[in-house]
Amino acid sequence: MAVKRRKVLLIYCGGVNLWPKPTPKFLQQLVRDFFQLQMVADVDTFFLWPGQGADINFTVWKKLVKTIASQVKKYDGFIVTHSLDHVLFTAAMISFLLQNLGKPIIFTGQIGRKIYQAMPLKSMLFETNLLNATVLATSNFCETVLFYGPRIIRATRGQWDYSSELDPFSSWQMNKLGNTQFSLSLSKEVRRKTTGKKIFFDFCHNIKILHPYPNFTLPYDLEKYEGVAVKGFLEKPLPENFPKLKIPVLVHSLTELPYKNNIITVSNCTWETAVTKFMWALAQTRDIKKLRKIMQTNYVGELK
Amino acid sequence: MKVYLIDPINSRLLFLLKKMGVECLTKKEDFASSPHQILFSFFEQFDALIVEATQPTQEIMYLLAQAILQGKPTLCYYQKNREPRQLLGFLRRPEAKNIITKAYTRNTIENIVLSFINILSGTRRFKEKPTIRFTLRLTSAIERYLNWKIQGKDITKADFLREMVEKEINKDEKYQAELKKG
Repeated sequence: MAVKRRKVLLIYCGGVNLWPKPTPKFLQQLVRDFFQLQMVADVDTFFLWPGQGADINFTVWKKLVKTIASQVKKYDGFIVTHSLDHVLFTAAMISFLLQNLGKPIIFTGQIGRKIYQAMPLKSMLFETNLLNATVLATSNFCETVLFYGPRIIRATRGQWDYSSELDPFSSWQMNKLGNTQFSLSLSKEVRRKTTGKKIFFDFCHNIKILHPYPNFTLPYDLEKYEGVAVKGFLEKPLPENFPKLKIPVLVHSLTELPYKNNIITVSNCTWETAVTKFMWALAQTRDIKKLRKIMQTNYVGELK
Repeated sequence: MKVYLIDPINSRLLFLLKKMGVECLTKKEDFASSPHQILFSFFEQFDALIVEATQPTQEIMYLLAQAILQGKPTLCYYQKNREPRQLLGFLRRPEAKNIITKAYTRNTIENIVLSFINILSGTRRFKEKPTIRFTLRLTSAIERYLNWKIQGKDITKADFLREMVEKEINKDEKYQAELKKG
């Protein structure tokens, strides 16, 4: 009995320095020539954006969501190439905007030069990574994941791993979802089935992000934003001189902190996930109690 | 030499290969786990891949795709008159020159595998190293002949004698049949 051919959409969103000046035609030709991809799946391409991760913006995010949402019935899985820069934000936001899609979405790309030079093994080249990502996109699971090295990591649990020379990310407060040590293997924590598909196209991008430091001067015009996200206190939600704002204020901390008024504290997810979830939540409601509840509810396996 | 053998149908092959001195890995548990797990490459652990691919599964397609990328010597065989056409279309491309494809029957499968192993052994990389000491007394006539035979060639008398014996081994049909009996 012949194995049913799976269909995968490869969405180019930057992230491959090996490909000089990529164009839609170049991408199609490359996939045609890289026939090993076609051995494991029928791979189509979509050229979304040619830029670098440092330049990624909300328009690209919206286009990415629309592209995947419009093609979800046609394809069994999706691969998104993305630079390492800001991929934690992009992948987390996609997780919230495309909930319970029932199909895998794999973020991958070429990892940086310094890391690349530390890998003498031919098996770790980008082509191998793309082949592995294609096989992963045909596998039976329903998650948005990061796949830049041997580890497969839930997008909303990704964190930078500066100790590893071979994989830029590790999994925050949970095991990795799988690896490619001996071919592809997925762990028990992987979500295989989902119900209640929800697709969102909106998120609030008018928020101010603050990274305080000693003697930090607060911006005076915070009220012009629709929300503020503050990174990293341990003992107190906010410094004494922080103004009382009418807009919601998200404080990300490593410990449980008390909250009051319109301050929402989170300590049970990564910073990138907290910010993107906040942006998504602000598009659903501006009521502080409801916002607080959303931030404490587990939607895509993002919370510890 | 180590091979990764994926053939649930022809179980005798495992015994045949072991008799030839070939180490066989047949399941994931056979592979070593390095303390630096993410450093260790699965494909680095064997010299060649042997796959039965009459009805290729997704895993087999993936392994063959990786084998092409890695340039790993691979033997891919399928039952005669049951060609996996789509797979063969990929494997017969110029980029897949490291892959040998063969149709087989119950009577020919062992020769196909033996031939593949011999091809691998014939390359410098996989040639078996002589390790067994054997003292042979020669007549002066034989010694003169050997000295004359290797003149101008970059081999030793011992190499020449080993090559002669290996040719005899390959020609000896009774011995080859004995190997197949298991």
